[in-house]
Amino acid sequence: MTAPRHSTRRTAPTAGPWPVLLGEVRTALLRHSRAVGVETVEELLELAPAATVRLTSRPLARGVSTDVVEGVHCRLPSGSGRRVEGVGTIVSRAVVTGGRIAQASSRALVLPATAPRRQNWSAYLARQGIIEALGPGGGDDLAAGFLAPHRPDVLDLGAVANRLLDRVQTSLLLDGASPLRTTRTRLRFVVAAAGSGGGPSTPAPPRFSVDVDGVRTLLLRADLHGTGRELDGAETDLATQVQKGLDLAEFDGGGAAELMTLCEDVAVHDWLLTVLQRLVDNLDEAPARNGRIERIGPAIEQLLHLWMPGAHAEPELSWVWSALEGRPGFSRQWASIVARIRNELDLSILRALTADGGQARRAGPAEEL
Amino acid sequence: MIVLATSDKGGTGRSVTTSNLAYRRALQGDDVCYLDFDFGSPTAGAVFGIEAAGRGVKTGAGAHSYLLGDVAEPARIDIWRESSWLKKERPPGAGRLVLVAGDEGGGEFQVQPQMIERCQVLLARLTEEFDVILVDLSAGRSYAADIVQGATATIGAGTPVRWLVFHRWTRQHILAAHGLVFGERGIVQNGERLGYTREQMEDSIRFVRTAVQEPDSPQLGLLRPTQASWLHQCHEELLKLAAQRGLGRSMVAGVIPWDPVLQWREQIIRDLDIDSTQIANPETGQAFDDVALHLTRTSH
Ligand SMILES: Nc1ncnc2c1ncn2[C@@H]1O[C@H](COP(=O)(O)OP(=O)(O)OP(=O)(O)O)[C@@H](O)[C@H]1O
Ligand SMILES: [Mg+2]
Repeated sequence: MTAPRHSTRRTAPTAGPWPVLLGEVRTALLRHSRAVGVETVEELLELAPAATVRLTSRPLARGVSTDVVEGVHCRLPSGSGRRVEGVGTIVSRAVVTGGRIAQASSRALVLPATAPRRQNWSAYLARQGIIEALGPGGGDDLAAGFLAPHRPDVLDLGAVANRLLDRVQTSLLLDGASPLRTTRTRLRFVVAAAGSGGGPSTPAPPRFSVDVDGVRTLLLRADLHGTGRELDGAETDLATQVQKGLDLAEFDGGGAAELMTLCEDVAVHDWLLTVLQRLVDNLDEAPARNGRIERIGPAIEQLLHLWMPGAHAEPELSWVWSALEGRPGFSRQWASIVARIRNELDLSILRALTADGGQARRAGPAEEL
Repeated sequence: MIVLATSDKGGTGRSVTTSNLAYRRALQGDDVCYLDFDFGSPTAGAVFGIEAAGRGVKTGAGAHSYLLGDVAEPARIDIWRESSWLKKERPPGAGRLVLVAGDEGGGEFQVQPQMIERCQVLLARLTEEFDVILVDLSAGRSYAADIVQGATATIGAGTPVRWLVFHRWTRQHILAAHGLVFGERGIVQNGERLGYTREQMEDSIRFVRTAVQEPDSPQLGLLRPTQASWLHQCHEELLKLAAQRGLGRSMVAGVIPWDPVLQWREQIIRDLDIDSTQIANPETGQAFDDVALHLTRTSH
């Protein structure tokens, strides 16, 4: 089904680089009283009978389900409100980190259609995680639409991820006794092909932001062909290859899985920050002061050690974490939260000691009797 | 914890009392969600003073639409911010207070297995976020009640499920509440069918007597002596009847006194209604506070 080159040219957009990787990650505390062991993680993530679950134990236990592939034929997002149809598949997977944090993510790499008309499903199913865009508009327009508030009739990666997370969270293996209340976070990400403008480009730093509804957005520019490594201006990226007439039918979306892992890792750390920050903020609020200190206990026991930014990232992508540590500065915020918790614990120990001290003195003579 | 609020008869004060319990519990520091599953008359919006959801939401994104599969997630309303009775922000020290409203013009429907599944997913999501989820079920045996009871059966042993059964303090109401709980195809029997033991079920169910006028209450001070003694006698008889029917003291989560404010308007009773304007009785606020505080008490 190799498309003639001229047709690739014809459907290739005039504005905005292709391809664009779109995705969403949902992150939650596993609905269980404590961290679960490897066997449970494996069973939780076995989404189909005998599906393989990838397990890593170092530097942190992490389990990843097999990819769940779902066919879609729906309207694609568009910043300018253009009508662009998308046909292809999205890929989702579930992840458990540290036996404690549950995630589901869905993604699709969007390319301009290789043929002017819809093909057989088998053609699309053969290329997992790729959606072909049938219609006008470039990658920029698609990304802008994806980042705008969701419209009901448009591709909804978040809903797919959420359903997969529900599947994990309602598993009968879980006791439902989470020690703290936390909100699921939503991280949307867009990875655009780098350096399409021609000429040497300096790598654009990743952009991370949180909007009013609490939706997190991560914007990256990276090489989407193969490894997802950072591009310098000298490298030929896919977009220029497209312009040179690269056969898109042969594009396999390699590198998307590594980028997915990176975004899941960012989502885990953003979630940890969100949960701990809220606990710490509440410490200052009267009147339930004493109760709140107790509420921090489970977080200290079960979450603090999970902070390990970049632990699972491919070396080629380590530049993204380095940039995020500079701005917005994930680890700086984490350090301040941890310091605050330490202070609060020291204080509560001190309070307990002075209270005990008083009692011990009073109890002292009685014991001698 | 999931708290299922039900009653056999309509108009017992289930919605008003449950709303006040949610409000008090959030003030005590817990994150609280009120889930309006009374599809016939979803009034929680009105009780919380939320104009846009007075009789359920009109957006087609309420709890009813969610169960039917029309929306992926029901809309949520931040009560602290949206309520016209409150100060547009969460009071310091209080937990979150969120309403998942019903749909205007919802009505009843036939149970389908997907609905139980959807309900279970929704409850699981809410238990991630909220310490206490109060579910207002409609009066009597309803499809909504069957769905929720089915969904909670597999929610995980670590999420306690409790029932609050509301009834007025009259002979008919006591008998009706008894039937709803202990009768043929009642809550206990349904629970047994779902795999709970009778003891587990009885342990999870408590009664709330609403709009009660105790014979000694100051409001009744103007009664003629004959009326007062008749009232005393009635009250004694009701106490006896309640004890006989399994609604006795050990099964009671609280007694909410009759309150003039609630008589005239379905609303949240704030401390300022008691202390500043003094339109509500302090005993009412106290009763709400006590029941809210004891929701999570493990054994009575
Ligand atoms: N403690 C109370 N004192 C006086 N009036 C009360 C009290 N509690 C509730 N009421 C009033 O009783 C009426 C019925 O209350 P509510 O709407 O809460 O009942 P419900 O059981 O939810 O009814 P429905 O079955 O129609 O949903 C309301 O007007 C309410 O204000
Ligand atoms: Mg009601």
